[in-house]
Parts: sequence; structure tokens; C-alpha cells
Amino acid sequence: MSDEYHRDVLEKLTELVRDEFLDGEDEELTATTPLMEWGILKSIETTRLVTYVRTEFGVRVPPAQVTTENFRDLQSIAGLVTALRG
Amino acid sequence: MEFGQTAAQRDRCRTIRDAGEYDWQRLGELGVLGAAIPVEHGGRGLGALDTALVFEAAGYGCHDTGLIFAAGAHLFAVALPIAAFGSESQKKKLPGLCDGTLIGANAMTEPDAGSDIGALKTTAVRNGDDDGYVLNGMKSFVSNGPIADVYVTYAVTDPTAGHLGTTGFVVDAGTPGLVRGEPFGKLGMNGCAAGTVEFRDCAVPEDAVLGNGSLVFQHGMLWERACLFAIYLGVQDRLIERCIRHVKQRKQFGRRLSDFQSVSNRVVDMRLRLESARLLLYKACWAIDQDDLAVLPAALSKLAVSQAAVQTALDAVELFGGRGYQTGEGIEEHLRDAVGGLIFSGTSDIQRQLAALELGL
Ligand SMILES: Cc1cc2nc3c(=O)[nH]c(=O)nc-3n(C[C@H](O)[C@H](O)[C@H](O)COP(=O)(O)OP(=O)(O)OC[C@H]3O[C@@H](n4cnc5c(N)ncnc54)[C@H](O)[C@@H]3O)c2cc1C
Repeated sequence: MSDEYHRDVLEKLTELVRDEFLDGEDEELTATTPLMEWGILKSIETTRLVTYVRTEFGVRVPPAQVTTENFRDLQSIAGLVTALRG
Repeated sequence: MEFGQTAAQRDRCRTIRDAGEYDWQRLGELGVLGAAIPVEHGGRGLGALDTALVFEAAGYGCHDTGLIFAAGAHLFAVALPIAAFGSESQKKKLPGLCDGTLIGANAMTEPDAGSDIGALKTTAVRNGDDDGYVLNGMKSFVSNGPIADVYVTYAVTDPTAGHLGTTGFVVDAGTPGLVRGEPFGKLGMNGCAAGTVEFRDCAVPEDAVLGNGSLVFQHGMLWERACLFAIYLGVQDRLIERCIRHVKQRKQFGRRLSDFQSVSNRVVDMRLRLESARLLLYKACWAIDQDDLAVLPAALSKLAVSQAAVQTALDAVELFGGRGYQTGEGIEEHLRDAVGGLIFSGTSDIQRQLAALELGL
């Protein structure tokens, strides 16, 4: 169940990042693409993503969890969402 | 040929110290400087809504809006982040920040990083021999900057981590390499001196670290957008009262100004704008207190209050006519003090952008 949830979150987050932040050009986007390092997640995109997680999955990300470790790549964000869902 | 006075000569920059340390310490005694700081650190321990009521009252009662703004910048962007994120030794500064012994300043904005805080160029590099960091960079607009005792500042510590790669630091005035500029001239808020702060190989100990820069900064900004702007509610209350007295007293064409419906309608619209903005501000503060989603209400409140403050001040100038335009009358200064509200704590465009993001746009 949790694995399935994690996969679903990862898929939807990948879609968001590909469609909205990369204008659909996702050739190199993978679950471990370093989003911060590559400048894909700037502050506005991070806010957008946190809002998306709240509206799409009903999961509130506390500000203290918005860290470089948790937002390194899609994999880690999906992990955070899964963990926060409890 | 040179003629005319320079802006600096025309509009002398006063500082808190010019205004009299007495005033600053009085704000400490009244509980304004430490309103939202826990009691055990010398504050009043108030929540966001009660803190906003304190600032609203201060805006109403204090005729130097710049001085109260200085208090807001000091509390929301320096004392509060230290209370929320600081180490035990950093928290030892709080009683002094609350009682007015110390003045705090927040140094974020840089020449190339205003709205785009992810573009900071100030760096903090690990000090080779020692524990701690060496700061280098220029902060271009620091309220209380020329006179502060304690600075909260932000620098890039991990260039690969984008906006999350910044760290907040607490730096004392007098630290070698912290160079503060003279107050620069500005449109309004002249009871609050502002200037540049430069870090030139400024070595700070490990204990200067306050926390993740993005986290610390956004926390302070949320409170600032909600609570600090309550100053403008109090100011508008005072100004509208003055306008009412004026239009009831002054006669033209043999009648009181208030007898002209377009004049009284203008006053009613001023009140309507103020009351609507007030409710939004209280709602934003309530959301913070309830640990509810506060970014959207705070952005809407900041927009409404700042825009109302400018329009109310402009209306007041019109209601007072030529007198409203004269500097001696104390009306035009409200307009000059209000304009800054469209810019600090994130410009109106940025508030709209935050609101749009919160709406999923
Ligand atoms: C009275 C006052 C007190 C201040 N006190 C402090 C302080 O104590 N500490 C501190 O660090 N800073 C302080 N500031 C600075 C303030 O935070 C910045 O001026 C503000 O964030 C805007 O940055 P900027 O001036 O570089 O303008 P810019 O970011 O260059 O903006 C210029 C214009 O472009 C618009 N714009 C920029 N980006 C976007 C976008 N993405 N979308 C739409 N429009 C955009 C802006 O809305 C604005 O209209 C203060 C400013 C004022 C006026």
C-alpha cells in the first residue's frame, strides 16, 4: 500500500515538474535528478510544489521539512510525502 | 551652475537615536519591542493577533510612523527569528532586544537580489583554521542598519542547493569586517534610518548560525506581512479621524465640506477600505495563531493594507487641499510613509505571485 502510494506520488510529482517547471521538456528528468543543483526548484517552484502536495495529496509539509535533503530530488520528495501521510 | 537642495538636505534622515533613545526604550517598556517574544526571554508572549493589536495601537498613538516601523523590523525580522530558531546563547540577546537596550536589523536585500532572494551573492565559507564562517557580500537596504547592535543576515553556504542553500546568521555590530554605511535619503519612514551593510572577510563563530536561511527568513516575513502592517491600520484610523474633524470644521461656499456629498462619500470609502483591510489582517494573524495555512491570507492582507494606506493618505491630502500638500501640516508625510509598504516585506507583485501559487495557478 505504502509502496503503491509512493509510486503514485512520484508519478504525479514527475508530471508536475515536467509539465509545469520544464515546459514538457523532460528528456533527462529522473527520480534522482538533482532539482536544486540544476536550478529546477527555485523558491517559487518550491512553493508551487508544496501547494500541489497539499491540494493533490492532502499532505501539509511543515516549513521545517522544506530542507535540501528532503527536496533534493523527486525520490526524496515522494519519500517525504509518504512519510508525512503517516 | 548648481541649485536646489539635495534630497538629503531636504529630508533629513533621522535615526532612532536622534529621535531620542528615550522613545525606543519607551517602546520597550510598553512591550512593543518584545510583544511576540516568550515571557521567559523578556517579551510579552503574545500571539500574532494580539501582537498586531499592539502594533495597531502603536501606529495610532505614535506620531512617528518610521519609529514604529523600526520597531516592527526589529521584532519580526530579528528578535522573533532568534526566539524561534536561535541557540541558547543567541537567545541571551532577547531580553536586551525586548527592553530596548539593543536595536536589531535584518540584512537580506542585495544589489542583485531584491524580490529574487534566491539570487543572493553574499557567501559564508567555512573558516579554514577555526570553527565558524567567513562572510563576504553587500546588503543594500537595511532598516536600522546604520545604528543596530545585532544583525540577522543571510548568505549562501551551499551553492548547489539553490534557495535552500542559504543560512541565516546572527552577527553583532563591531564584529571586524562588518561595515555599515551612513543612512541614505529616502521617501518616507524617516524615523527609521536605513543604509548598506557590507561584510568584508567578516569571521563569525559557529554559534552565529541561526538556521536554514529560507526557513528563518520566510518565518519572519510571514509575521511581518501580517502583524507589522497593523501599524498602517492605526495610522489610518488616526488620519481618518483628523479628516473627519477637518471636513466638519472647514467651510467653503458657506457650507461645511462634510455637507458636500462627494466629500463625505470619500471619507466613507476611506473607512470602508480600512475596515475591509483590517478584517483581512486579523484573519491572517488568526491563521498564524491557529497554525493554519497563512501564506494566502497574509499575502492578501499585505496587499489590502498597503494599498489602503496609500489611497487613504492620498485621499487625506485631497481633503486637506493645499494644506494637505504643505509639509508643516503633517498630512503629506502619511503618503510618503505609506509608499514603502508597497515594497518592503515583498512587493505587491510578489504578494500576488504568492497568492496565485497558493491558488494553484
Ligand atoms: C521602507 C523599506 C524598508 C526596507 N527594509 C529592508 C530591511 O530592513 N532589510 C532588507 O533586507 N530589505 C529591506 N528593504 C528592501 C526590500 O525588501 C526590497 O526593496 C524589496 O524586496 C524589492 O526588491 P528590489 O528593491 O530589489 O526590487 P526588484 O526586485 O528589483 O523589483 C522591482 C520591480 O519589479 C517587480 N518584480 C520583481 N520580480 C518580479 C516577478 N517575479 N514578478 C512580477 N514583478 C516582479 C517588483 O514587484 C517591483 O515592482 C526595504 C525596502 C523599503 C522600501
